[in-house]
Amino acid sequence: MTAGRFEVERYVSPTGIHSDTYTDPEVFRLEMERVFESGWVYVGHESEVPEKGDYRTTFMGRQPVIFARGDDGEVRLLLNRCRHRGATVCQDQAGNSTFFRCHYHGWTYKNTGELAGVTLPDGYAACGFDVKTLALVAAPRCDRYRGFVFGSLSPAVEPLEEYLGPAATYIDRFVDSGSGLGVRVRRGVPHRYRFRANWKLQMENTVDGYHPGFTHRSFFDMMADQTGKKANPYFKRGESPIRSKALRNGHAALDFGAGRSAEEFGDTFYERVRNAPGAAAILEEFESELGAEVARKELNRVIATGLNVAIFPNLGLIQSQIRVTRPVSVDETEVTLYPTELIGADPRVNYLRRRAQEVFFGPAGMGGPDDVEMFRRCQVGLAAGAVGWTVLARGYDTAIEEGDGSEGDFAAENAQRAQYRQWRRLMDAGPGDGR
Amino acid sequence: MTAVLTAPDAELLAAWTERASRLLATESLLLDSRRYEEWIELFEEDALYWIPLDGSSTEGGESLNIAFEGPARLRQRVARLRSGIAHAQEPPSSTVHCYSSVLVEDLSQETATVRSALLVVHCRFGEQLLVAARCEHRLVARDGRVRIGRKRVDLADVDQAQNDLSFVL
Repeated sequence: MTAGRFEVERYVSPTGIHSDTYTDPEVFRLEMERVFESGWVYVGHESEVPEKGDYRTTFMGRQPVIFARGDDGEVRLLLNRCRHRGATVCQDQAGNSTFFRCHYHGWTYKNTGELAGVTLPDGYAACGFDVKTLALVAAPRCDRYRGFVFGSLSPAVEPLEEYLGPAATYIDRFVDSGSGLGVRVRRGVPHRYRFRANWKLQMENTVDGYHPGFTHRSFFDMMADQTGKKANPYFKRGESPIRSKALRNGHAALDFGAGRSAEEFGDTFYERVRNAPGAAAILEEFESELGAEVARKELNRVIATGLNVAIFPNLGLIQSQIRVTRPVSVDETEVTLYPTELIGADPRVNYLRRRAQEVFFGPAGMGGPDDVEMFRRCQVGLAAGAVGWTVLARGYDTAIEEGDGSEGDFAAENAQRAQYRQWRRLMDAGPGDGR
Repeated sequence: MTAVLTAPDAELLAAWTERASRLLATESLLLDSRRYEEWIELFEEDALYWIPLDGSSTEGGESLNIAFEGPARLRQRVARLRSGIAHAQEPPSSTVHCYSSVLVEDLSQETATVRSALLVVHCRFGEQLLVAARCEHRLVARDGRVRIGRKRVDLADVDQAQNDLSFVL
């Protein structure tokens, strides 16, 4: 990379990505500045900090952040850095606290970020330095949509609703899919995994309808053995009603169709959970209470949504989970899968939602680790920089790619191309982007 | 534990200590030689193989888990690992399961709880990855055989990002 303008066209073409985009540490550094530390990023769900004083620590790009609800009831994104000498003021992953205290020299902040007290304050008189003004720095933008809290470290971003655009309707579908009373993140330790590959491989994969029939064939074979039916909703081109939707601003979705269940596609969450401890008994109870047909249809609808949604750059909504991708370095990524439960639903339904997440996802799931292995293989393979460009062309048609949205078949790569159009826009922002 | 054991207790403890030692060593051997089908035979038909995310959980269903499986699901897991297309384990990891600090507790004639420290060395692409955990086996002695009623593996770093755990701990 040369000094001056970042030449986006050297990294992203309409139908391919250059391998340097995944392997060059300088590209990663710029992504952190221009994508993760300037644009909107997803931070957390309001239900994770329901009470005053609740907090969870996280990152916006490389920057450590406390996602905190202050005693005034407001949710803030406070940079986790003492204004004095820079130490973190909050050490735990989550908790509840009235104060955040730096244990290096004892400076103490309220959970609203305001500086509550400085030790030995008399020593600052002569330099004319008003330490009382040194609150924890809050992300200049923090807004939410249906409980999903986003932040930006740049004050200059567009309003959140404008940024989300038509993708907001997919968040609505995720939230409204079950009981109608919404979803909340269940307290406790989520699924979390790491891999030695670039973060964008996870971003692409979240809305990749091309890969399941291949990467996850072992899982679908396993389900076919269990049920005696061929269970692969992705494999046959032209027969799948799943559509790949590219939305404005780099958001995208694999859409099973509003109001449709996975059952008609031969893959049922009802069957996926059956062999989990306690699940078969619950399924039988529901069948005897509602009748077999109604029970199956309803359970397929409420155990998980038939949606894969990717909100650029770091949020995924898949089945019943909230997926958050955290870039660590150019070839290291950490991903967290927060399980959601349906508010007000029968506890047995939420029991089955957890079982559906466990069978496929997480470090020991029978699907997710195979994706992670593909990311690893991509990172190793992309080191063959001599090859240059990848092919991201399936379903490419200039007529439909232009404009704000496009729709392709289940295995079209229009979703990924849309992600990279947004990447280009942000990376092309040029030096001095106002921060 | 400091109380002086009466003779029958001492006999029971000696018997269970021997059983526990044999069982853990057998498990370790079967897993490390990937004799998974024989390993599953060590479990009771209503048994649980459990890697919790919530260390305070006592039965698992109310929390999300890393693994929460009975023999039916374990058989599926093993069949998938054998398929040749379970990519995260292709080629399969080479493992060494080391049980140590074994305590045999809560004894009756038929049941005992075995608490141990577990280190799994997981070799992959020239690296040796470590999985460190506390382990609890609930054992059942019946018809001259000792079987596992429940195996619970509490990862030491359960609140941190994990590497692939799609093989068997």
